[in-house]
Amino acid sequence: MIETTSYDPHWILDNPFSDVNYNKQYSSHLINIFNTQILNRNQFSNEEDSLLGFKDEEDSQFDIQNKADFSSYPDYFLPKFSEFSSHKIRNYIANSQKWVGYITELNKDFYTARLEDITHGGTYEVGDFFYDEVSKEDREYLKLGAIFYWSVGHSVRNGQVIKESIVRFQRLPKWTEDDYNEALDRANDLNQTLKWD
Amino acid sequence: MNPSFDPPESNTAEISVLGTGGGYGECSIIHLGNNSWVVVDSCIDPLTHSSLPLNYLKKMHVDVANDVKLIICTHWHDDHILGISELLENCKNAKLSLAKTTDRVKFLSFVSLDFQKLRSEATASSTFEINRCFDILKSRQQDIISAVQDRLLISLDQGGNRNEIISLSPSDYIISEFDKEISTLITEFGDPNQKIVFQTPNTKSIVLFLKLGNHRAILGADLEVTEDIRHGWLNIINSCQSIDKKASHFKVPHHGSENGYHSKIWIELLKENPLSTLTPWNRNNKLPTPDMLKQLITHTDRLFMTSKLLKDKPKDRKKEIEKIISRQKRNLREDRYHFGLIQSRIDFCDPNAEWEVALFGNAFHVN
Repeated sequence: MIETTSYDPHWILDNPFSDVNYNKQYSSHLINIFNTQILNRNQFSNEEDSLLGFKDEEDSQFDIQNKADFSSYPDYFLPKFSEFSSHKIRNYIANSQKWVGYITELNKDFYTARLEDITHGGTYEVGDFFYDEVSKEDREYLKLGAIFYWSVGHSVRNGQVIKESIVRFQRLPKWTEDDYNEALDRANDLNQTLKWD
Repeated sequence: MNPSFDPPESNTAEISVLGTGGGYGECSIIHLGNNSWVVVDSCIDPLTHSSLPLNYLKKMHVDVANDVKLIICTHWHDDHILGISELLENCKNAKLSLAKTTDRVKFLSFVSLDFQKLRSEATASSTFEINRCFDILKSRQQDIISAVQDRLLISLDQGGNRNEIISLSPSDYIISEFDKEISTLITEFGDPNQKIVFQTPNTKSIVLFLKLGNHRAILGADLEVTEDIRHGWLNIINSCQSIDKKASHFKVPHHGSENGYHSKIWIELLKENPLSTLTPWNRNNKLPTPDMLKQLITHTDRLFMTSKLLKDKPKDRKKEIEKIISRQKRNLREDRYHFGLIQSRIDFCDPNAEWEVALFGNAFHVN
């Protein structure tokens, strides 16, 4: 039986750059542990059990977004390798594949999306997704053109293998006035410099 | 004629139609004679993301930096524009032609706003390509040639023959309608988590009329037939002043769809039994339909397609992943890449010459 899991929203799941950045520094195995810990952080109320031990979510966002130098991370943020003793590595995701997609059609019971395989690349795919696979928190994002991430794989939790399929919608912050101004400045510049006959 | 990547003779015109099966675009590559080339639209190989017309020209050892004179973007749907910026970047002397836009500030604002979404992966492929093209043209200080009805886009004197390409569309009416379309799109772009999904019709497509010595050709782009004669094929038939002779070569519009067909096109604009080329569409509703194919072959026994229509099938992947997907009963199908090229050549100095066709990849003769 497949478990389609609904998680609380967390920025790292929605940020396509998270894996990219960490891949440079750590093995994919470690990244998967990291992500799994965040996904299941409610189960690790006792800091002894947690590999990460965030002070709180706000701290984690600040650190990752603002510090490029990983060596400067405070101890509470980064796991120490000595902490990865075998008895603690009990939650991870294996054999996973990820896609980024956007909605091209909204139908009665399902939506259709164009998908790009971000694990292997190559040709695009088109897939149908039932609305009930989308978590309550994400339903407001169900619009034509909405971008989402879909991952499929086996997760291992406390030694138990679970087949998982997770759909997460991208949720970047709304534009600021500066963003608009930057775009419109570019338009003005193009209008003045491009020559149309 | 055997397929060959030998470049054409200086007095030989070439129209090569290149297709990918639908999802990765289509284009036409034209030799006007004497090493002067024009590329209409662009498409990519999804495995390498390289521009297919560029690959083709390089394979023929064409000096793309100097010999490609013009790149025409018939309309900015994804299946006509992918890879066009890479093409322009390499074709350093080529000008770019786009359909005329009256309200340029609004148009540029729209594409710049959409380009700003690049960091969230929400930029549409078409606006991304157009923005890159604008940056290239800006750095080169090159003109953009606006295509409108009956506009001469390029004219070359080839050994006593004037070989020309003229745009037959968009009509004035459609150009004003496009301004309204941009006004609508610009209000929809604002969410950084959302791509604009273009659902606009193909009315703004640039149909091209080629004069190659005594021979004529029409490249139909994606233009459709509408009851409103202010635009579409009936507008071309009723209003265009540039069509001096019937064409012996026809690129069938809009993947051979029903909405791109009218018997008047075949009777009034084309010679009997014209060489006809078609690029199929394998996504969603597959084109051409069997009924339309039957209709088309009543007009010509020289209909060629860049590839056959393919059945939907899932992509090959790891068994473990496939198992999970199949248990979810998810309908997942690959947007298959099916390359095909129809190369046709004619001696434009010989008024009695016939088109010679060579087929590459999955291209085939329908009837």
